[in-house]
Amino acid sequence: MTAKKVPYIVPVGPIHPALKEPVHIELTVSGEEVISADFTPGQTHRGIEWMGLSRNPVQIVHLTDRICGICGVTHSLAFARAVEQIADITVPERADYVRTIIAEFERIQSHLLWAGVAAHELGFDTLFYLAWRVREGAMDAIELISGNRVNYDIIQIGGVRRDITEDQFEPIRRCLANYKDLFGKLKMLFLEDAVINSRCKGAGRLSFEKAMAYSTVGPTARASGCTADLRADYPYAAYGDLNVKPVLPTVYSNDINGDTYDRIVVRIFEIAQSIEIIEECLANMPVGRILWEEKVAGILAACKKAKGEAVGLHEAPRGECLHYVAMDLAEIPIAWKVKASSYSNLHVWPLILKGAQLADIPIIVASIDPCLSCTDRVVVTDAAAGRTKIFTKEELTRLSYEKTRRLMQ
Amino acid sequence: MTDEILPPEAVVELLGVALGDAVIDSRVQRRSEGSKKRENINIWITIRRDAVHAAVEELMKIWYPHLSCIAGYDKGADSQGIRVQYIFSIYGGVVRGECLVIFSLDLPKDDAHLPTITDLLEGAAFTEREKTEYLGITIDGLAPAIHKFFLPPDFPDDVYPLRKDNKKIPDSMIKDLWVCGRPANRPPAHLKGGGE
Repeated sequence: MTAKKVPYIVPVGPIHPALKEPVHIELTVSGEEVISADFTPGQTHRGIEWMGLSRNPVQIVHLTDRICGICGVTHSLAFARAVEQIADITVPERADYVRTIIAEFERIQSHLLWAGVAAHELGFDTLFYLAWRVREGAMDAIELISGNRVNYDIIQIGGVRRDITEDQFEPIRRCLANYKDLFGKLKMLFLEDAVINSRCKGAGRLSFEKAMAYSTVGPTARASGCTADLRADYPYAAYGDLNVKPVLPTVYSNDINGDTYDRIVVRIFEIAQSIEIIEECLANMPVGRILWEEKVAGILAACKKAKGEAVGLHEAPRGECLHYVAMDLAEIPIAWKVKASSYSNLHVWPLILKGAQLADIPIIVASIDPCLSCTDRVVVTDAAAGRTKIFTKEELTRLSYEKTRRLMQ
Repeated sequence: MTDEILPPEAVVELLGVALGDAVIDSRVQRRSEGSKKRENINIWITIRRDAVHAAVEELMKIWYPHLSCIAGYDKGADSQGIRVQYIFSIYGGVVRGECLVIFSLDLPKDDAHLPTITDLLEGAAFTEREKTEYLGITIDGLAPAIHKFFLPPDFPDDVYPLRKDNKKIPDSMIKDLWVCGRPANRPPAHLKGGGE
């Protein structure tokens, strides 16, 4: 029998219930070190774009709500903005503000969800429970506004389907005040903790040059020093009325390293930024209608007369989300392309995983926020000996936990 | 690349001069939202299919662009063409300055080839591969993929999900999926009246 030879191939994934999208990652490892990484998304092609091509825009809006379980408003907002441009629909100012408020609440809950998952991957489960407990505040506010916790269904072509009424202002403000009180604690727990510091600093580094060459978006790009943030650069919804400044790691430290730690810094401080944006929107909310046209038949009549193509953009919690729509004098669009935020970030995995240690894979993979560290199982194949050892997902996470424990001793 | 922020008309003119008659048409689209009605700008340029690499090269001289994605659609079962859009943005990071630049081009289905732009933008490979898998466009100069990126590994090779012609998803892959019958090894359903 031949001796075991390096490198080994470690496949990760593709299915786990905690994943939004199943992804398969294949790592070539030598001992504990990752030499190269390959990934295969697209394990479950749902054909949503194809489904959209037999539906009208009002129906597609509800379909877009269901593309992602966390970004409940991201896709519908980007899609609605594209259709509104083609049909020349002017969204009432109040609706722009409602859209912005719900989008920012979504950012708060998404970043907190991610922070919890990151803590869990590091074996810091107390923090995981705390982050998810704190997240409930944003979920309650979203439920108060839209009636739903997950698929908000609040966007309509030409506005929003629900207004924020006077009596809702008070609970929303209470929720924001609560987050403000908690922010110092969150910052201390996530950014000052010695173990999080030593596990995340220098892990999964993405250079500025590569972040630009790979057209990365959102907190992943900003953690590497790219200043792009659609909310600041590309005025849409109510963001054009505000002075949003992109959050870079320099908000907390002097250097930009583009590592996992910097990605935590950006997300934690974006929560504080979202609180400010919502407060400003509540204070300056214009009065008036919330829909360009209340009757669905009226919206569809406008769509029937629409001809042309447009791109709808939105800065989602994970970065730029883009919908391309083309219409040609019919209710049903002739083309619809969805570019989700993670689409622009996934392909840096091979770069940031290279040179990493096996135990750091969960946190590095999770650091770009596809919540992928919850891998189903890992198979370590020893090609030379023709043997396969199957690790469960728990075993991989345990490797990560053990590393944390070692650091704590 | 310069550090100067040019107005959209100047960007169109610069690209028009550099690409010559490869530019078929162009328009600047402005959209304003919110109370202050600040504008965002999209530049749409239709180019000849052979000019795509040069167009990206020229755009890079203006500003290091961000490639959102390459979109595309089949113009119909009866049509011989695919329309492809290269969606870029420039001036990212400039406050209220970001501007989309979208190059559109028509591609005949019987010669669906495009050159790779990975020599200019390393990260373009991912979205280029998507066009191969979804629309059957061959990207010249891009190393063949060792596996599928956007479709399941067992997805048939000559079927393209976003095509509308004879290469589209056949009805056998989607229609009547519910006709699978009740598994024989399950206990009968406890329903009053009826029963099989």
